[in-house]
Amino acid sequence: MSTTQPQNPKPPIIQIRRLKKYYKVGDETVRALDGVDLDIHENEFVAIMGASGSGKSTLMNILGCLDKPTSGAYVLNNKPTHKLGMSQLARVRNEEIGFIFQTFELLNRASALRNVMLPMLYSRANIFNAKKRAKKALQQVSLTDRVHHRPNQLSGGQRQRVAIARALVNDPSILLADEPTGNLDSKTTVEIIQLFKELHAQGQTIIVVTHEEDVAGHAKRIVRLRDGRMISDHPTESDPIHNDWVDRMAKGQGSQAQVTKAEHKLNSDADQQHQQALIEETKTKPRKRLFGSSKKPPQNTPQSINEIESEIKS
Amino acid sequence: MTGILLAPFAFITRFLWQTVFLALAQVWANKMRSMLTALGIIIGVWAVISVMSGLNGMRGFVLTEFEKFGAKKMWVWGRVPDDKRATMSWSDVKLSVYEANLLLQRAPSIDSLTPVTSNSWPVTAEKKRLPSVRVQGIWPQWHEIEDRQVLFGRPFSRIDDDERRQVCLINDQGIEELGLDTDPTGEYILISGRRFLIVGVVETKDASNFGGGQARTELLIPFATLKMMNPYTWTNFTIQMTSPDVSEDAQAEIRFILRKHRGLEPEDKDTFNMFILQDEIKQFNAVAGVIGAIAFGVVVISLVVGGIGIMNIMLVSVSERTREIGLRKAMGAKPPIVLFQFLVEAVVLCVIGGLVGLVLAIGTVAILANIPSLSALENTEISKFAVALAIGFSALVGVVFGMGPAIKAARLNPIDALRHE
Repeated sequence: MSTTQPQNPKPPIIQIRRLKKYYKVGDETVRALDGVDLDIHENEFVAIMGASGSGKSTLMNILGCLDKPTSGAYVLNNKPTHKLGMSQLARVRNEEIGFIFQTFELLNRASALRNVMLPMLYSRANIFNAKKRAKKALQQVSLTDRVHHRPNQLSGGQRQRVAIARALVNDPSILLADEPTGNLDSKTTVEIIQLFKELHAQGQTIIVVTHEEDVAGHAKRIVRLRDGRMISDHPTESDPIHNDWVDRMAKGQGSQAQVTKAEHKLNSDADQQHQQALIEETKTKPRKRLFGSSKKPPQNTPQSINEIESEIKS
Repeated sequence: MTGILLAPFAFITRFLWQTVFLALAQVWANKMRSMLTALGIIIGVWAVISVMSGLNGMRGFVLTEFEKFGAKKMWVWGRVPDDKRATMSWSDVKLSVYEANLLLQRAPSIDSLTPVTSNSWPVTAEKKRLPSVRVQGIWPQWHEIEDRQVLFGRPFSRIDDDERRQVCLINDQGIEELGLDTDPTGEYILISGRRFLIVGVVETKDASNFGGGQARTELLIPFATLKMMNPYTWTNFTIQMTSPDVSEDAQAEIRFILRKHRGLEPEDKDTFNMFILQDEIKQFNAVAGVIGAIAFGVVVISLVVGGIGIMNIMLVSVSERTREIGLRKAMGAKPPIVLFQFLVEAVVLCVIGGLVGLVLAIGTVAILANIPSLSALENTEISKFAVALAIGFSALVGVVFGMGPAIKAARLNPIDALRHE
């Protein structure tokens, strides 16, 4: 990490420490996440960026409690999710997380209202006022006139707004959006981002995973990943890559896809650091055995968990 | 406060309602497919209810026929064993009144008994003469055993028999054939030249199909009177047991008493024979049971085939809706809940199939019961047991064959499911 975040006075809602996620692909171990530390506080609007293969999807899956880390700690709203079983994680997803997907994922057979009511079907709270809450959530995304329409009778922007209403209906502590504007045209993209901004102004914590600089630009903080590590974490206005991009867009130069100078520098620095770390790791470790992989994926041992927890508390 | 108390029930109720509603919507959305899928179940249930109802109807028909004959009745008569044909004559094995009294005294399973004998004689009334009428000699107990009371006059009494009175009972057919009054009591007729007083008219009982159907002229006189007129007639006993359940006891008692009285050695064969309707009923029930078991087997096979169809379509449904499953899981649906959803869907599909099959079966049974040439099936009706069994079975098929796909759905990893194309 090149810079540290200024102290945020609000309590942290997400605390991630030494988060690792390794996949076994054949004989090789893929390090999708290789030691991520991240704090997200209440009412933050964070964009998580990275090229494909950077680990941002893996991070999003773990943030969304859809997946469990190989090792490390992830505390969401004081719930140590790394210790929970799949069924408890389902409950956490229901109560703490509002998902927004690129492809909306609405049920085509059900009306907007039924779609919004879906998360409440799996919770014991709000049994008697489910319909009222769903209507209120639809009102929040200004879709009161489309309550009984089916998704195929709605435009893309309206569908995504139904999805956002569905994400909001259980009062989640975080809103987790995965490329929320990926399937929308530029005009509706603006609408949806405006909606995010409004929700943020109302006090909602929002995390957007994206690869589009202009979407990320609306967030208050940008976290960048490369090869499973965090390479930068800045408030948007002081993010060098983003500022570079804004400059270039202002001058009307180049496409979004082109790598900026700042990004190139950052990437090469990060790659060098990564290489260095790998070399040191191999130096300290015994040589690879002839049979079987010597690199066992790290595991969450009780000691490591205790260590991380005491760190979080302090 | 009440909200807190009611919440768990409300949660379960709402979930059940939603799941069933969802399943019905799913079936409705794929009407054609659901129909074809449920066809196996429909045919299975249709078959099981129709066959079981038909079988039950036939059973009921046969059993009522038996009942008409009398479930408590049994018959005993003398018989020359096959290996004694050369040394024994039929008169050696003929049952006697002494034996009748012996059985009445010693066999606790016997409620009452009448010896029955018959002879054909010419009968002459005032206006007509019949050359040959079958005259039966009976004891007064006959009325009770055959359940035939007198319409006019009086039944026989013990004294009629003791004193060998020349009295007779007649039935409607006899009155007509002999050209007597509607109430002929007090009139005299000649039987084989002897003068008999008509003391009563015995009712004509609804003859069962086994009994030969057509009512015929009947003349009844006391047993002793007939034996006086002709001591050489054949005799058998009509016996009423205390209940239909003691048939085996009654047989054993009669066998023991008669063998002892006749001084038969253990190696000797019985010199008498018995007929019990209960045995015939048992045999019939055994046959009906076998037919039922075969029908049951066929039905089970067809339901299994239907179940495989259900399993197939549920697997298709699970893979079609992988993304939906992923979404539901992301929204906090726990694996058991997803499992339950698909299980309910399979059960709903099967039960709908079962209900359609039931409706078809009701139609089939209605048609069967009204075919004139199938009189044995005229009382066929849908048995509640068959309905419960068929619906229960189709629900069971849903659970058994829906379990696999439902487990598959419940085990899906939400990340992969959401990424599924």
